[in-house]
Amino acid sequence: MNPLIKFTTVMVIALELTFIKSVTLNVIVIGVSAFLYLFLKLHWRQWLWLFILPLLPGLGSWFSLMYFGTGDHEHMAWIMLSRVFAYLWLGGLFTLKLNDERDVFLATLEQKAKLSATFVYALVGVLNFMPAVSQEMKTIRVASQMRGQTLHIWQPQLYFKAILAAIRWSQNLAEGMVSHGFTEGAARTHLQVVTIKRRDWFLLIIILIAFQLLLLPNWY
Amino acid sequence: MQTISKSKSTRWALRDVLLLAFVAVFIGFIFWVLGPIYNLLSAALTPLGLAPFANELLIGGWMMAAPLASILIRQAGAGVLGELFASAVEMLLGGQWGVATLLSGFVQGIGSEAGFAVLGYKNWGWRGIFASAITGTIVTFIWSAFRDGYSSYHIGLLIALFITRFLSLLFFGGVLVVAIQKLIEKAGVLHRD
Repeated sequence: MNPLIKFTTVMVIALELTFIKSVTLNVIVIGVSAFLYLFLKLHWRQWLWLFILPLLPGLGSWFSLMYFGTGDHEHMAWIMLSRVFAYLWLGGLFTLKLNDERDVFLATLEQKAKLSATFVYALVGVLNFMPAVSQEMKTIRVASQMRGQTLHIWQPQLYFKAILAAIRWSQNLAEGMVSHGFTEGAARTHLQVVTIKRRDWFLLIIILIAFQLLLLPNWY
Repeated sequence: MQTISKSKSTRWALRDVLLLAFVAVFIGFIFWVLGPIYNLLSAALTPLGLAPFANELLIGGWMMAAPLASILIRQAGAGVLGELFASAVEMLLGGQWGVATLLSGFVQGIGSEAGFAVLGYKNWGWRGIFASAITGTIVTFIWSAFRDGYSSYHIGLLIALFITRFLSLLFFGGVLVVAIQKLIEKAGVLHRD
């Protein structure tokens, strides 16, 4: 399935879950996601990740709703606990495979969703800078420690120095991109043309319709 | 020194987009480092039923990308884009919230941007920044009422949560951003043509 189609499906359902108050529905979403994970051949670490990660925010909401809720708060506590799991398991269908599919995802955004090439390539460029960003933050901290100052996250100097680096790098990267032939707003040709299969569109529509049908019994 | 394009056209210049993206990534990184501390704090507060406060305390930091993008680029849409970039990078790197990050990022961006919009995109100084902290609190709180089940909380807790979030935004999105802006102006690293 094309990652952008998958992303759209997941986003629409996640947005709807935000407004639906139903434990049953959340559990159905978790169940269906779990079923799909069986085909994705997950590493055992990823399974662990899926179970542990939602536990903290889920229980956090559960406890505070039990203690400090009003009205039908016990029901709401269970909704929140299951919703956090549903969010993460649903989103994981997209994000756990993202490392392999990132390039296709970004290419689809540009070629099919017609997102401006400036934004897509800026995102690609910046993602490649991530290791450098991490290194630069270390450098900033160490450099100030050499002068006997420790920069904390509540000090504007830390951000100022980060912004200086951002200014310098964005300038360099913009020049680099232009000198390699990137022209703003120009029509581009593509070495790898992305096609979205008709089957993917079909699946998107079927899944979304099926989800809306699930809402019919009014269990929220 | 970087020149920021002053054109009021809706087309975004490459260098502006890149600056936005880099600022978003740096802010994202600074607060991503806080992740373990946040988890510890939230775990410690969970048995007391006070876990949402961990989120409220730090939300201002996660939302800093939006007001910073606005004051640097000074263009309508910069705040939303900055916050979207921050959340997109977090998602693409495999952050723990996945696609939900993008939704929250969008809402936070709109909330922060609304402050500058209310003042007609004319005031980029402390008035605009504090206005954005106020609208940011209100908009994201409404979102939390749905997403995090806040609407079911006791009114006392709700008020405490709101005040905590407002203070966090006031500090990170207000006081700190104003201080950063002063440093930038003093250093003269931004040139507007």
